Amino acid sequence: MTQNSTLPVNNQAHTMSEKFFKSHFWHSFKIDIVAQLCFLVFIAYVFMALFAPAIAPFDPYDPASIDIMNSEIPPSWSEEGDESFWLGTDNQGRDLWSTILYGTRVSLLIGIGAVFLQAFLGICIGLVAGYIGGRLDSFLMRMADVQLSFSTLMVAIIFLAVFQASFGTELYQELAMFMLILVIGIAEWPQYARTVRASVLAEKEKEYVDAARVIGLSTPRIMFRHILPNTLSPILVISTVQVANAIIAEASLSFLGLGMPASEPSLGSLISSGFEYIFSGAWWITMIPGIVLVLLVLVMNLLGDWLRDVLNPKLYKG
Amino acid sequence: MDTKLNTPLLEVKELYKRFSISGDFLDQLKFESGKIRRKKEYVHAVNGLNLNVMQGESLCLVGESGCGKSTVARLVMGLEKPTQGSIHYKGDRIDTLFANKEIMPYRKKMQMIFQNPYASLNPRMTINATLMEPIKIHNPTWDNATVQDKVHEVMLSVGIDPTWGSRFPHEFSGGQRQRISIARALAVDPEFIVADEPISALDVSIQAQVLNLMMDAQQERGLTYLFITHDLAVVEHFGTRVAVMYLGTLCEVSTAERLFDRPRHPYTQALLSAIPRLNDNHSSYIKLQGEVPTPVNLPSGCVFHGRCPYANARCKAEIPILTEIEGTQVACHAIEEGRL
Amino acid sequence: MALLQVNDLEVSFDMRSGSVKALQDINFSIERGDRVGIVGESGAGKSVLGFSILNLISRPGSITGGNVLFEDRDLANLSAKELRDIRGNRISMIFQDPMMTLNPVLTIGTQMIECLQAHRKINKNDAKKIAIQKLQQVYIPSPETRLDQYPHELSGGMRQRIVIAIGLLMDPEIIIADEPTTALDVTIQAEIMELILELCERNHVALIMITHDLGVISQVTNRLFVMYSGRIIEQGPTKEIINDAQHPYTQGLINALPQMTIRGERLQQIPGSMPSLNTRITGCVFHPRCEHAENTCTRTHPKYTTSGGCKVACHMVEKMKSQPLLSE
Repeated sequence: MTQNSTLPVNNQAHTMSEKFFKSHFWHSFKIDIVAQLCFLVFIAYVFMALFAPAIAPFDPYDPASIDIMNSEIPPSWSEEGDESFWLGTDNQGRDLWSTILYGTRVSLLIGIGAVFLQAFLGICIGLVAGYIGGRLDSFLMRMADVQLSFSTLMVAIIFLAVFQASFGTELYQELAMFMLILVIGIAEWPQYARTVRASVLAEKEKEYVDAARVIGLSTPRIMFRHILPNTLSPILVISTVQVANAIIAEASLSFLGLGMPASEPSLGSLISSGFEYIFSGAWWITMIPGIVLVLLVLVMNLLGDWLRDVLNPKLYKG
Repeated sequence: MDTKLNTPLLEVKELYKRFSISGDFLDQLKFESGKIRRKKEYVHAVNGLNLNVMQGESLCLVGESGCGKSTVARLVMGLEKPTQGSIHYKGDRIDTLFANKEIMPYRKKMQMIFQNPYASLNPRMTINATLMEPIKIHNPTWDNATVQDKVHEVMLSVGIDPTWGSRFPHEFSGGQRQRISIARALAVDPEFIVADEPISALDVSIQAQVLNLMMDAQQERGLTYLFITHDLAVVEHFGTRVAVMYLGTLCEVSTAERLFDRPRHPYTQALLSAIPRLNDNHSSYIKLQGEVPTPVNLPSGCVFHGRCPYANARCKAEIPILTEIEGTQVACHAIEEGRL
Repeated sequence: MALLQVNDLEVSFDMRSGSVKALQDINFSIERGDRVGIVGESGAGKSVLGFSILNLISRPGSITGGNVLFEDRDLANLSAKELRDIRGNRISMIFQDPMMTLNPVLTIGTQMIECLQAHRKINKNDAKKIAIQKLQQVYIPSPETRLDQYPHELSGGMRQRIVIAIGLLMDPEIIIADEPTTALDVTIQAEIMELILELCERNHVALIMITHDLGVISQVTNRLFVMYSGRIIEQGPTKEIINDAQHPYTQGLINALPQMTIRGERLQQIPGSMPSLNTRITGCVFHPRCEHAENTCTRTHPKYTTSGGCKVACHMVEKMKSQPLLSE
């Protein structure tokens, strides 16, 4: 009797790809030229970073391929340029284009690595604080407040300077990338924790969480299997912005001499190394990596804004 | 006919629940007449509730919004801990159980259906995953095929095509989602179901479908319902017994027939007279004076005395106790004294 | 001259998958003092109809056909200023959630006085007097003190009364009430309904009552429109429709009410649910759920047939009359 009383729901697409192409997400991407452009540029950056060894004409990490006599050659389009160095060379005689490719790789790696660490810490702490609540919540959130009241750079500078002083520059240079990921990762977890906690508090009130409790699911299972997947959209949005922030933080630290060593430059340390020569006319050593860095950060922020607009359920429904 | 011959399946004894609304320690500090004092305020949601649910019946708990009826449902299901009092299931006390292991057997026997079909299903889980979860956790020894068979069976029993299992909740209408929600509750073969306003978010024609489904399930599986609602028209049709709740206490408990034939408590009378009925010419309802008091500052004595046309000095001072009068349990001084 | 006349109204929403008709073939007229009920399930288009009367449909929706005439003036051709003059002044609207109308950060008095001064040139004291008078009309105790209160300090029923008082401020000719009591308890609902009825009768105001609750509508209105999937499928005097509905959907809706069934028996249900607007159904929109449907129903949309005082859009009206269902 009751079987007949249901009508089929609308005939909707059921393969994953069809679903994707019918989704609101794909549609808003299709009509937004800025988003498409940003996405293209971002893909280009990722491509550059991934295939840097294949694209780069020289290996900037190999001292054998560097000739100090080639230092400070301007880009190839200027009068004194050299055909074999497209964007010129830096003060050590490294091909700037190759160095930028490798530097982008380092910067992106640190940015993404730091964000993974932030996200891991922040999501765990945010979930626990939001779902369990009470005193634990107050304690964790006050900790987040304290952490936020120090600026990321200040924490990083103190930490890295102390490390450098106590364990020596050599060890520091070896571990530089790891240390940067660790410091930037730990310094920014409250961003995630707060966002996750806020959406957990909203999700917790919904009846499906009560339903899961009534079924008898354990607390960790409810937190990770039921609540976490429903808080993913804001996490995704802040992740793009956070990657950009982490890249900037790394660049600033490198600029201050606390970042990547000159032998393995990131975009930040490249900018920094060229800075001394900017008044002697070698503007390209600072300017070109600078533009590359600004464009990367800009693109990521624009993508983040777009994602926020698309995934905001209020805008979505209205 | 008389359900009193049965043993109660669920017993609620002297149940109290209050919620703090004063926030953190710092928020509680108030500056009063030159001194800083710590002031705590509570919402008194449930105040000394006694209730028995008999095996096989549908007990409807009726009341207006804010009377604490949903809190009772959540307390019974262990989603909240009572401030005072106890809840017994088949004689065993269940409100003090903490460890998951101890609660699990009762989770299998007692299930819940929720009000809002749009929020009660996890939007990121397919229907199959939603239905498999309770079956797997309560039958850990079953293999995948057996679990799938069970999912298939419950989906058929609520009138959802089992081939739709791979779809997500947003692809279904409100009525269909409520069916799925019922299927999830039935999946573990419970004895007792608490339904918290299961049809109030649905359209009229869909309400009938869901009510029929619940009645069919009761007949086939011998279920017992605690049905929580504000809709008296549904209660008249669905309930075996009815408990009327006002500001956290019961004012009248009776069989549905007797309650609708002869409501005793003045609040019940007012409530029944306000149901909009087809064909019946309006303005015959009993007007209550004043507003519903807030559950933060409960009135002294009978909680209804401020709006009751029959209230006297005793009603303001003394809390009436639920006593049996002519087959109906009523908590009212006026009836006890024969004034009404 | 009818007070409000709606001719062949059609409202469409532009969706990604194409344009979707939310309202089709809507025709009716309302006279001064009429009390009209619009009943239907969620998604039937009853709220859209309420909004389109005030020309308040916003993108992606738009009126794509027909017109709405208020005192023989087409609302679509009016300037923004003229429209503002009608909205809230001549036609006012009461919503389901009082907080949609009330601004939570302003006192009741400020909101009422502001509203009066926006439409009329009067000073603050006179406006205050009118406000108090209107609050008295909706039986709000001690109206002078209420003027200084904020919406959150009042109970739900009290807020809805104030919204009604604001709706009455300009002495409108038509009140559109969109589910005005759905958020309220039964005892309060009865009071508000009685109040609306009394005010309409006393001030000779036309009422358009939009709701899903047949019980409420049967007590307040004298004419009834039943909507299904963007169309009016049956219209006529309320009493006649309630007692002897012609359209199978209306019958199903009435019979599905618990009070129409004997205790303990299964309720009579309409199978299935209302199709969403973007599923196109050929023929009668109700035929997939209709137990009387025949071949003709799947092919053409039925025209109105007059039966008694009612107009019904159903192919099977005559047939159902001559051979009642065996089950009945």
